[in-house]
Amino acid sequence: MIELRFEETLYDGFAIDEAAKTFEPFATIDREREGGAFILRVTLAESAAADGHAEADVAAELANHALGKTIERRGAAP
Amino acid sequence: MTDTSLAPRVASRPDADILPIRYRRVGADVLITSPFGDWAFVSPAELGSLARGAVDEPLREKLRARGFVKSALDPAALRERVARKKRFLSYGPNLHIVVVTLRCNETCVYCHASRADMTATHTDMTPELAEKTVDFILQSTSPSVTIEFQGGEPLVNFPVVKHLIEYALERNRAYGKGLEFTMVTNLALMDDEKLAYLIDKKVQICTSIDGPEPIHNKQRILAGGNAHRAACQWIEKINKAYEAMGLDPTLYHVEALLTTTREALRYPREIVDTYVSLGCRAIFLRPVDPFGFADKTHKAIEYDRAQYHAFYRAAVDHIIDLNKKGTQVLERYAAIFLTKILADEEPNFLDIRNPSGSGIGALAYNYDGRIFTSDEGRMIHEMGDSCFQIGDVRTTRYRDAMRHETVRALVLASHRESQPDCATCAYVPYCGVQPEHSYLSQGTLFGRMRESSLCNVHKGIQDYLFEQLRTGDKETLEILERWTTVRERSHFLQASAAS
Amino acid sequence: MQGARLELVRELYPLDAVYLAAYTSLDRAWVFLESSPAGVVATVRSKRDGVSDDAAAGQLGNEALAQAYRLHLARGGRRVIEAIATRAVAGAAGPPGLDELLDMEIGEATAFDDPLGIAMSWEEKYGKKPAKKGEEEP
Repeated sequence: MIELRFEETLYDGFAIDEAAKTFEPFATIDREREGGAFILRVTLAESAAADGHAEADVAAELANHALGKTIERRGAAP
Repeated sequence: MTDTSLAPRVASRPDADILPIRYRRVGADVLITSPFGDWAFVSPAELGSLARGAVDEPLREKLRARGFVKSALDPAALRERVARKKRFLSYGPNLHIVVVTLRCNETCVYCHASRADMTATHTDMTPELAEKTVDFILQSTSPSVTIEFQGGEPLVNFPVVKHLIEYALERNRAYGKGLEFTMVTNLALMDDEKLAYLIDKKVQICTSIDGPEPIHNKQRILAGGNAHRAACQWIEKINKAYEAMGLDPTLYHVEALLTTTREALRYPREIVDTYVSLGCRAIFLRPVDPFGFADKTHKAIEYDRAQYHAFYRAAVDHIIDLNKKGTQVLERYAAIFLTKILADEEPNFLDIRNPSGSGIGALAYNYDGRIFTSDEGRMIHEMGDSCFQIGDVRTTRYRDAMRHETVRALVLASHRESQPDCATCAYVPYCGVQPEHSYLSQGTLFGRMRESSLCNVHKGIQDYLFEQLRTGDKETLEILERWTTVRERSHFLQASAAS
Repeated sequence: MQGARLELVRELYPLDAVYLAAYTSLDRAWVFLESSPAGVVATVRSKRDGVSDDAAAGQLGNEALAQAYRLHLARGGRRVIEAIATRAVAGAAGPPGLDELLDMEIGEATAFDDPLGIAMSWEEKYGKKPAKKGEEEP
């Protein structure tokens, strides 16, 4: 399990929800909100492991997706 | 790299009557340019005086003569000058690149057309899509449009080329636009019948010549044939046909383009001589770029831009020498920059324009009807990234394509004065960078000019030109001035009748 | 997340510049942002063979610097940039054609909407308001 802590001052909640939904086929994702941050606990799904995906990579891609969507929502995307 | 030894060592208190300047060392002098494109050479000591606001009368007079003194400028004339040079902003795309097929009968090491094999007929544009493409093109707000046939090799799909030409001529009767056709072809599939049609329909022919036969054939492989011999044979035939029609051969001839690969770098003079022997009056010494096939083979053909500059200088030195001996031939990059520097005109070469022509000056239409902001944008699509697609001829309205957010982004990204490095570059009044190039090579539309190979090329060429201007050699200056003269080729303009 | 850490102080790197730089890096690296007292810390892990995490972080830093400077230039030249961009797009697009006008929803319900208040006379919009009943004239 990998814990990702997205600070609310830097990441958009809707973007995180969208990222979590996008990666549902690859991992079980538990969400929590605490101390000014959105916390996602990512556990690689068995099917994803069988396909050769690494848990750290899936978590990192999810984080990238959340960051990208945050930037797009903010309107700062180039 | 900015010459920090020129940086004023005292606090700057600029003279309020002198325009803001940008500067760059050229030889022992310093080139200064104004925001309006005026330029002058000053000594490092004079630059220091400018920075301190201690401009004595001789220097002031020198600057006044060169257009740097505010109180001596006519604001109305200045406004008119700026408006004239930016008049292209008032109308839409004039260059429309139509890729009628991806099939190609040659394999070129640097090809950025994303070619397909000769059996890939599914990459041929259909007559129906050709018609829709023409319908879209004629919506352009530009009073004149040039339809440029590209590929692959456009002669492979000659029936659709003909169909498009006939349809465009007919439809343009209602629009009355200034209409021209050009074709970029390797000429290997040309025959007398096709040539007769193209000449009759006033299609300008453009081809590639990579230099003497051994270089050309090594880089452009024609299965079962000799690519160089085929091209040269038809160049000669076409040029003779124009002459037989009574057209001035110095003005009407096949245009040829060079793509400078690593192999070509060793033969600057030989390449120039080859072009001259073919009757070419212009040589475009283009460096290799990162699009399409060239991306896969860049390890074999790419090179440090310092090598390109050495090649460029040797080639243009040779061209200038030939001019001094009576052979009239110019280098196209130099002509584009010199038109801005010496003639204070905007030649409207879309890739070196500010803002660039991507989307607002040119569009590219793929064989399948997709519309892109440029041919480079189309090639990026063929490489797997469709971010420069702004529509489809079947479904997209012209205005919607022009108002696409990608077009807006490209305009903003190519506005040079608002980009780091460009903002303080002495060459900003004359320069332009295509954002698609920055996107592909650096991952961002805006680009980081310190790392940009395109910026490097443009700076190097302008350095060379200003070095030539600085020498003050009368004969050289006359030659360079001649290169800024634009002679209209009215024969290629299609007659039209607007309703 | 593992990777090279790069601190971007807010005085030099506004958050927009950090975001713009991060956005252009997402295809080449994994980027994770956290706050620090001075600004933002980016943890960067390279996705590309032959490019180390440190190199990827350096590229992000270069891009952030370029974006910060570009934003600074854009703020100063905003009016010119907007004028040129507007002219370019308007010149290319041209006025709406008949098909677009026909597509606009102009019906009885909307025909007399006046969202910009242009149907109002200047006096109605800006002139002295008549005194209410019982009040003195202003």
